[in-house]
Amino acid sequence: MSMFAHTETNARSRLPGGKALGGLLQRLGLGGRGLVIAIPTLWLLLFFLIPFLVVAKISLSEAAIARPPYLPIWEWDDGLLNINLNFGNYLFLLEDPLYLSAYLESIKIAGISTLIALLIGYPMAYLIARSPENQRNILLMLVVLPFWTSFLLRVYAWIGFLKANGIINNFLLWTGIIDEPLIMLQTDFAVYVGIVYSYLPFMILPLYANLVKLDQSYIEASADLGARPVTTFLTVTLPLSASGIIAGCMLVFIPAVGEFVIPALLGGPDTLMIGRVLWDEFFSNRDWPIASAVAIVMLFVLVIPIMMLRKAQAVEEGAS
Amino acid sequence: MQGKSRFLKITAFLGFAFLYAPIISLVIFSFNESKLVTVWGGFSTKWYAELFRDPQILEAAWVSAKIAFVSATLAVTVGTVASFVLIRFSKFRAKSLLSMMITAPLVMPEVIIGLSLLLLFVAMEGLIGWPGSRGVLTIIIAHATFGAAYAAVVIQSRLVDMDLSIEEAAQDLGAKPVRVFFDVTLPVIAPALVSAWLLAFTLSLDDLVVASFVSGPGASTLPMVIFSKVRLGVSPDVNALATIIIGLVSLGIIVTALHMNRSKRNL
Amino acid sequence: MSEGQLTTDAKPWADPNATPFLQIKNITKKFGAFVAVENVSLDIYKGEIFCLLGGSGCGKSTLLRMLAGFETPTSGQIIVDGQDQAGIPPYARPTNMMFQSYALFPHMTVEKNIAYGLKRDGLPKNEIATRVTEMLSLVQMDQFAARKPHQLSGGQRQRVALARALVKKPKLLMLDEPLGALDKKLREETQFELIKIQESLGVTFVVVTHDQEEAMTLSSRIGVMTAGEIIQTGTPHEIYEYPQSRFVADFIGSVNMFEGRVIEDGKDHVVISSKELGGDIYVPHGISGVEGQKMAVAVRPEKVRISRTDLGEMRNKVSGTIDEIAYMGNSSVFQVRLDSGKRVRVSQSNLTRDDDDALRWDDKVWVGWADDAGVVVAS
Repeated sequence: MSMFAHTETNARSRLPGGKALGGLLQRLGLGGRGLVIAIPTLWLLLFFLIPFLVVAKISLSEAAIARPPYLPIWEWDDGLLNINLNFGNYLFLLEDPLYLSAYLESIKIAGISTLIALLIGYPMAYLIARSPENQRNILLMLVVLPFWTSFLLRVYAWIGFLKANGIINNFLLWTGIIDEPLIMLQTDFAVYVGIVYSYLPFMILPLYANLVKLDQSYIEASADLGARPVTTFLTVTLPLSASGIIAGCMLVFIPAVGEFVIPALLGGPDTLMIGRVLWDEFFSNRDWPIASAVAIVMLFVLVIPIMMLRKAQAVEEGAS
Repeated sequence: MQGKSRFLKITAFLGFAFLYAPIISLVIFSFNESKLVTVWGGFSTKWYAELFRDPQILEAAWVSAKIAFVSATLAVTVGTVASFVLIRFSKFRAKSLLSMMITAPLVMPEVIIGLSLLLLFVAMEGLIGWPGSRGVLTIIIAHATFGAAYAAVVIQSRLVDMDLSIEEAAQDLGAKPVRVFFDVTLPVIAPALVSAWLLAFTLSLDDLVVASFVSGPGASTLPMVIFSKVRLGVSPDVNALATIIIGLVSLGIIVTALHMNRSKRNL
Repeated sequence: MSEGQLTTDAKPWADPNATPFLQIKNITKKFGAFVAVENVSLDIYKGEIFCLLGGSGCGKSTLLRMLAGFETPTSGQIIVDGQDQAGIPPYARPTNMMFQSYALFPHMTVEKNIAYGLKRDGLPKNEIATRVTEMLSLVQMDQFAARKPHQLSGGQRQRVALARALVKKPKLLMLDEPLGALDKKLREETQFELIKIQESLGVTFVVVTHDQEEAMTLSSRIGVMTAGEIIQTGTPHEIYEYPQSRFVADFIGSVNMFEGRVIEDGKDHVVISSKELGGDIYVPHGISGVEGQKMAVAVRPEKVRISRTDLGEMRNKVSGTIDEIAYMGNSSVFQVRLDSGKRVRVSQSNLTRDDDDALRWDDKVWVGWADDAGVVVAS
């Protein structure tokens, strides 16, 4: 890194017969640049990147009843370096069907929730983008506002809505549509509702940002050339908003895959989501190596969606 | 066209209803006399009274507020420097690495961030004896790290929009780079810094997962206390707490929106 | 018109003993493989208003930014008042710049904007106050001192930007499209105001513009740039009347161009036979050519005469038909199709309000020009 270059210059400046003040200041300016770069770089290296290496390392170690609860992977023993790489954790993930089904279940739940969020979010984003300019900001604020109130409490609110003697059931019983309460809480359905509800703003915002840039005259031109509204939507609007759709979908899908709070509060005991599995491995079983292996595999699962997101965002940035 | 726009309006209305109904119900039932959260038993403010008598909640709220304040400030500092470096500095060796590291936390599941930071703290403790015990400090570091990522998004977009020639003009008039930053860049991007700070503050106040991982026995944040309460089922004093938070947030948003509107007109 | 900026009618650029105030020596700037500025050398003298004129992407702004220190030349040297500018950061240069966007600090009042540069120089408070007040009255912005930039009109912002750059008494003031953001009417007024201010302070101006009219009115000299090179330097009069290349002739004003070959090389003239014109062109003094050599003659539309009757003893004349007439108010522009098929542009002042005998479409006409109206350019 550039810090090294900087130290080198400093060493040279300590030579006898140092240069004039101007030279010193200039060198300080150079050092300043390196320092400015170093602050965020070192912070993120230490608290973001290196932790992943630690996770990777611990995923290869063996669990033990100790503090911390795993064995070191290398040991210095009488001039002999013993490296014990334990791939057992990963093999265990393959062997035990629980993990595989948890990954698949997470992807399924996240995928379906994303689709539902898209179906609800697209018309909303479209409407906001086509609203008069003075109304747009108010509508956008209405979309973002729930995001600023506690996520946990918003998920909690759904318990009151969905439970057996909750608001929805009470209403339906009162109207006479149903005779006995529907079981909604602690089901996958509740998890879908929770995810769609919590992440809807993440879908709407990138879609809005894309659609608001869409020139109305394209749509008029398409109509002028004889396309019906539906055809126009399918052949003009939808293709032009593709990158917004991908960005929105990935912004919902990626966190949903690793979601913990929503399945923990709204899901049933058999709602297996991988975030919850990781949490339980860590907090209940205190099996840090397995939890680490679960995390590393989850990262690999998310690589493709993350790359799709970055690409879509690059397209969006290029377009603006 | 008519039919289409009606369809859009109905969908949007239902969408907004979907977004707001749960929040509104939280507020309404916080004034419910009955302990059964969803059965109306008359107006009462007793849950608020109960809330303010609960030392655990008050303590946790105070801890959370402290953590959010410090971590948001740190996050904006790191985020601002990172944004400035990425947008304004010519190429340097670690640039793409820094750019990757500042955006990655945005798309990283919370459980992974929490787990990885905890394992780092444990490993560091083994190596250098720091951070000693886990608690407020480790939560602050964790929150500042992902808060910085969000702050950087807000600040970068403002820096990109900013007319570069304003900074050049300051240099041309004799200001050295550091001066330019404090005299011109910071004041011009100040509204973005405020938004970024509020965002980081809210995220910190809101976080359950990362805090649960990196916290120690000494420190419970508000979300941790709420989570342990609601895991056991609905409880009316949580509704009261939610109402207070919603009230504060709405107030904060209205104030900032008014302020932003004014400063936008001024720029 | 323009020589007035210099204290006398002297033309320092024509005086071999005069020392240039700004010397640009073989400056080249490359961005990767792209050459933005190629081997430009230029001498500018004290008190000049020098305009760099060219289309977008011609390198004029890059050259200006190198003078200000925002870009580092790939090779070459910039010397201001005897001092090499290499390695001097923008904030330490004795030059100032007025930005195209004006770049007024949005969070500071007019007064603070103007005082900013003086504060950086560490001047005492009372001196700063005096100089700011002086500047405010020079640009007639006294009443607006406490306003913020967003409360000003475009013309007022332009004046604040000028004041802010001038208050430091720079050795050299660079102006990037100084009038580009103003509407046409305001632009014309401001041009003269700018010249007046420049005269009263005696600061040397280097102006970048793409607007030829602006360059003609403002400058003592113009450097025409294209593709990173300065292809001609001269007074507005020289540039307009004696373009050295097709590009310059074409870029500034409009021009009719006739290509041909030399058929006669006389003592004080040459005759060029032009198939395009369908006749011979007589060019007096100043050039000589070998027989058979290719040459092009440029003739400005307003120097071409047009008439229904034969143009008498005029040597350069041909006949044609009026194809098109554009009425411009102060003048009319005729497109005449010559018998050779070539189209010629002729402009004529409208001296009377109504002319019953005016030329009409499809009229058979003669067009021609005086011997010295055409200029031979390199093609």
